[in-house]
Amino acid sequence: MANQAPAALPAPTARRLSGRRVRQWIDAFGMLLPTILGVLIFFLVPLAISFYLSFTDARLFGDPNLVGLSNYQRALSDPTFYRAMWNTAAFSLVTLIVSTVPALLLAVILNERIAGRTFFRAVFFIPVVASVVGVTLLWRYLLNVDFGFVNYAIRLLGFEPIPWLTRPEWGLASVILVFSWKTIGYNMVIFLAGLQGVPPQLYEAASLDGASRWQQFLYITVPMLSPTTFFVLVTTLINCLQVFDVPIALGLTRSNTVGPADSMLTIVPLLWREAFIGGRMGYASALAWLLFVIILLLTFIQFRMSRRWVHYE
Amino acid sequence: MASLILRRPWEKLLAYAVLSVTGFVMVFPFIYMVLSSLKPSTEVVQVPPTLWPSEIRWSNYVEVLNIVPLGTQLINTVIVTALVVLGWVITSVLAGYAFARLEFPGREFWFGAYLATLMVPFAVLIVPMYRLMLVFGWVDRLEALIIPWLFTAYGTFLLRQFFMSVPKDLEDAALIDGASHWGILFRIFLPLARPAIATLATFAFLYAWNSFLWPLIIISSPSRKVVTQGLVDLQALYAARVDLIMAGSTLAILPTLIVFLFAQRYFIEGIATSGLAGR
Repeated sequence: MANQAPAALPAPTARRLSGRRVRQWIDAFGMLLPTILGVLIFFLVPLAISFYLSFTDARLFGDPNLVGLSNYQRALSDPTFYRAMWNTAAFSLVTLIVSTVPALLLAVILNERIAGRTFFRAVFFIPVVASVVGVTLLWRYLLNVDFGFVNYAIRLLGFEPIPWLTRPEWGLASVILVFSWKTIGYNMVIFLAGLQGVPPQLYEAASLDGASRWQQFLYITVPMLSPTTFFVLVTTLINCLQVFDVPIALGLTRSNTVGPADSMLTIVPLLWREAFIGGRMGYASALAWLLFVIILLLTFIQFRMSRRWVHYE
Repeated sequence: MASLILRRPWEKLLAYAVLSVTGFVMVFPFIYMVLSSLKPSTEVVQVPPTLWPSEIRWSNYVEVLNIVPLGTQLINTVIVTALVVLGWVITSVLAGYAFARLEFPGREFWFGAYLATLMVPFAVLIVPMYRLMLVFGWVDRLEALIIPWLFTAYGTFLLRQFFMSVPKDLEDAALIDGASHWGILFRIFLPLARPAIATLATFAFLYAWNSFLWPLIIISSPSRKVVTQGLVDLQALYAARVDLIMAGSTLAILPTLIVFLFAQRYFIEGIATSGLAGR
């Protein structure tokens, strides 16, 4: 008896374990089923259809015919496409600076032990949560050349009022202004989380060694914060390339131009206009894939570059 | 943590000056919005502009609810938002738990693949999604604003992170007592996950309440539109009635500000978590 018992034990244990494992697979499948169905029907199928449509002459209705690469060729010879590309690039580059540098400055200040930091953090975050369309309409009136408060302030300072929304040369600047105003608080919160992850002992050690505050910022804060900075730059850039709500709510006119003389036209508004105003769905799909490739390339380049200058713990 | 940068009094003064000026720029547009929404229509376009209304007109709000019709559109937005929030929470809790706590072949691969879907810009999906909605008969119907948007890789990531941090002893004890994984999820993990769910729900609320591009494409009847579309229509049709546009904007923005006031902690935590994903 005493010898048999240990020998008999492993067999049922093993069987129970494998039964438990299969049971776990079934449970996992059940829990993942809603997600699997969602991804399949509303992500993978549309993704495949989009790729196919980009090689067809699909319109709003009717059956699409294959046309090879002609949608892509058309994009590359379309002045409106280049205009939208240029606007998107200029908008993204300027916004990348305007919406991150002040955010870092504010985060550094709010990382100090000063009174009212939670209050200010909340205040800077209010534009982030408010509806993009709602606040953009607000700015449409704040930027008005006659009765807008922005130009009122500019006049008080003794300058000429700026035709923000009525002249093509100011269109893109207005989009940058509104978009950055809305994004700074978001970037600031991410910087703040990164700053709070820097171990205080590093600063203590450095100041014992006689490092100045500026040296501490340059040689401790900046390298320790670099993964956060990298994340902020990548996400801001990707969001900029896909900007839609701000140019549309700020600049869409009755004749479907986006801003005076299409000065606020970026890629996604162009894509929307081609597909749903012009009905050229095949062409719009090709534009979408060009945007996708650009985003993938930029992400890839940024990750490669990050190896050179991002410091990971 | 000690003050590292601001040591001298004038540095603190400068810091407060920067904070106050920035704070003013961030808040002023909302003050302008609320005050303008209460003004008589001629006063809003006055030159030079005034801030305080000469008389308070609550009737602007009554008027704006009945044109466009913004009242109906607010109700549509509430319905869509409530269901999308519910959907995000349910699918993310289930998938997050499976990815964090159950073992099955290829688990890490499938999770990585799901996260990779976040890289695809929404612009790639809008044209085929429109055609799919044609096939389903959901063009110009609220179903199109709800059913395709009930799942989220971001939420699954958030809940998985949370569930992974729960100590294993808890579920081992329950498994020995013969509980199933569904039972463990609902009885042990779900109550623990309340803060993570709150974070996810606030994000889902923001996402659904503020969405614009997809409704713009798929909904065309005024009575089925959502509030962001209503605002743009209001601006196009009543451009001269700035008072009404401001009243409409206030109605669209106020709910998000109220939710933010109560759920501030969860918003900030959620963003900090997504930022840490970059590490």
